[in-house]
Amino acid sequence: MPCRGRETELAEHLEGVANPEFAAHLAQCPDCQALLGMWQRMGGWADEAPDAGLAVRFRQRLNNETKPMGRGWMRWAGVAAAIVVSFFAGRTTTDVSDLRQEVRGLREVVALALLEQQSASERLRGIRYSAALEKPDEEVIAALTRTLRTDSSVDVRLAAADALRRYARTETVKQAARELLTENESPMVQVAGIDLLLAARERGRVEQMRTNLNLDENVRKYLERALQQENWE
Amino acid sequence: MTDEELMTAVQRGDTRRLGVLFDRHHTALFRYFLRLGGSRSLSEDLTQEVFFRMLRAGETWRADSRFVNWMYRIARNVFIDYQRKQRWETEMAPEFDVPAPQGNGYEQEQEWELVRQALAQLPPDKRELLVLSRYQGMKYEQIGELLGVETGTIKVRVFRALQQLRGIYEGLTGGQHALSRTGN
Repeated sequence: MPCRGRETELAEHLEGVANPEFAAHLAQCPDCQALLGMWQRMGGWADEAPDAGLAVRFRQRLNNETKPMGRGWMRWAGVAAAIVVSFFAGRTTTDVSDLRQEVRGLREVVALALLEQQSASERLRGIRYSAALEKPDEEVIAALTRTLRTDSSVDVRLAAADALRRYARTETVKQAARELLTENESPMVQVAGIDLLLAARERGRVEQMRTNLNLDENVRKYLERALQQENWE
Repeated sequence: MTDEELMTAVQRGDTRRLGVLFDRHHTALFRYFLRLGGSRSLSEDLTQEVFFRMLRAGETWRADSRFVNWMYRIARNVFIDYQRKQRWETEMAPEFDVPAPQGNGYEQEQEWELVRQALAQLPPDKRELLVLSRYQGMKYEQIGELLGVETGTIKVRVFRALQQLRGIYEGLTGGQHALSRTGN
């Protein structure tokens, strides 16, 4: 049984409060020693760090959630809504399958249009819109890949990389991902490239990065962690 | 700028400052959720959610409060809401979410794993208490403020939680570690 009346003193001892009287008790009390031993064992649980990409994803979302909805987006949403309404209004018979097919095509048109917008936040919306498509056609995937390769905003490129993970095994996506690993890319983009290539099961290409002596230290850490995690999986 | 000044600026509409607060505190929050039993990906999601909730609930921030306490209050609510939405898995995160071995030998790895398992078997309120005091570096006074309980009560609860953890741990090791009392 524990030492009655010593709860507070032991808890204070754990917090670093010096108490000679309790220290003397501890020296001869196996139960209190065992509790202290348990506390010390808990300290063996090593600290883990979140993935480097978390900070990027947070800032993307912060950017999206704090920017006012742009007029361009409103215009496109309005156009899409108008087309959908007129499309349904003109129907006298309902062939549900055809309707779905055509509406799906319409969504892709909207996604493609958004990806071409001047504003980075609207292109980000385009990416989110594209990512929500169940089965985007090749044109949407190609537009996302082009965004990944060439967009002027790193945030937009990273969002495109996230959206393309589902299609990582597509040859054009793999090729774009390989290009992200080059030295003149920012570390965040390189990290996105690592994720994409691992999703594409291109482990060998990722491992080759280890030989790059100029590799950013954070990217190297991320690379090692990602490869280790893949081993566990 | 202090955390409190940054949060006051966020409250006044300078939302970019939230990024600075995120940089300062997201790792600690991530570990908090991880040690409460979340997987890596869930812990990352919940960590982000804490900061977006700060944005949405900015009006509840008071400039004379202590930011870290307010942050953990939100974190607790995020965690409780998550539990409400989805039945919390009492077992620990899946194997692939376990941190990579640190190269300190098989026996030590096994010991850490047993500590993780023992913590996972503690009732959630006791687990949280030990996570806050042992891993998040919070003083009993701060924990008391966070949970709305007297500091003296927190001390007794920490003692009892540790006692229960020890019992579970010894059960998992078949009493093997009960013999080497100090664990060294």
